[in-house]
Amino acid sequence: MASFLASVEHKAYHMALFAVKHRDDALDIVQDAMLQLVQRYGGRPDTEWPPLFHRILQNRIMDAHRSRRWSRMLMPWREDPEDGEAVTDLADSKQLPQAERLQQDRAMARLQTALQDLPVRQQQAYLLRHWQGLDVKETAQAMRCSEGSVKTHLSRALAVLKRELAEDWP
Amino acid sequence: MNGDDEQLKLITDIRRVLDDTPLDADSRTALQRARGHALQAGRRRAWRMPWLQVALGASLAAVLAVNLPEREQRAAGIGSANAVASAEPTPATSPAIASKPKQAPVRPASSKQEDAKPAAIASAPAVDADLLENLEMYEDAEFYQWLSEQDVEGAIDA
Repeated sequence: MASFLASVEHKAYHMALFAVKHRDDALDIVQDAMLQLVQRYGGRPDTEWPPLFHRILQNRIMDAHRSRRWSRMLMPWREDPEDGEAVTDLADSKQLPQAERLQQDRAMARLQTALQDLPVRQQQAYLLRHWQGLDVKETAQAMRCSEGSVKTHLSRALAVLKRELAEDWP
Repeated sequence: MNGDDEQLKLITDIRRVLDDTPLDADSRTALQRARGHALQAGRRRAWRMPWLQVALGASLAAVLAVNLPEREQRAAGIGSANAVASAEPTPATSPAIASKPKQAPVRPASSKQEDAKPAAIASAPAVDADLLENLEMYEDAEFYQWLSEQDVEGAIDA
């Protein structure tokens, strides 16, 4: 279980960070997902852990997203915690050479902006399918929707990303 | 390069950039702490569950051990009492038998052992009616046997 969690925590954190755009909230989401997986499904065979973990993570992300949307609707005067925090947290590429670092930073910044601007369902469908490597069926199970919905989300997300990243993409 | 190839290249490039994204030190430490916390909670739960199962099993066994024999006794007592009640003739069908007065148990006043038996039976919550009746008959026979022996001794004394 420890090695499994270590293998998924990095990507899970970034997925949560893309969705909620706040570092502490993303860490809370990942910790909750880990805790729930260990406590509820720790006795299951390890082949079942990845889909269960992704499902729990998606539930947590959507819960956080909904609660944030509600609080934004009910208290519009409150400062939004996501402003200007997520993008700077992700890139820490000081060890790379100067030119490569600049190029990667720019690409990363553009990608982060494009991903963060996607609707959450499209964003998560894209990340699960094309970054985590789940197939359409597993993505649908993780997101609790039909395979057709996943394909629609993917198609729309790809269209937006292609449009947003057309220039200056490495 | 057609549309599918472009799309595939875009997906590959995005994946490469995402894979190359490093974590800052604070986030890495926080994730490690979160993982340790989750695993520790899992170990605590794993320790707690067998203890809970053993405790529940023991308490259930204790409850059954206390209640089950008593229930069985009660059920047997009620069943035999019902059987006796249904076997007894009604007054309308056999008035002669029904009008016969019940014989009171006669016991020797001097015997302490004989005194203890009915007291023990009376204290039992569920008494088998057949058993009680047989015991009374046995005590009667024993008493008459004892009485006849007394008479013989008395005659010899006389």
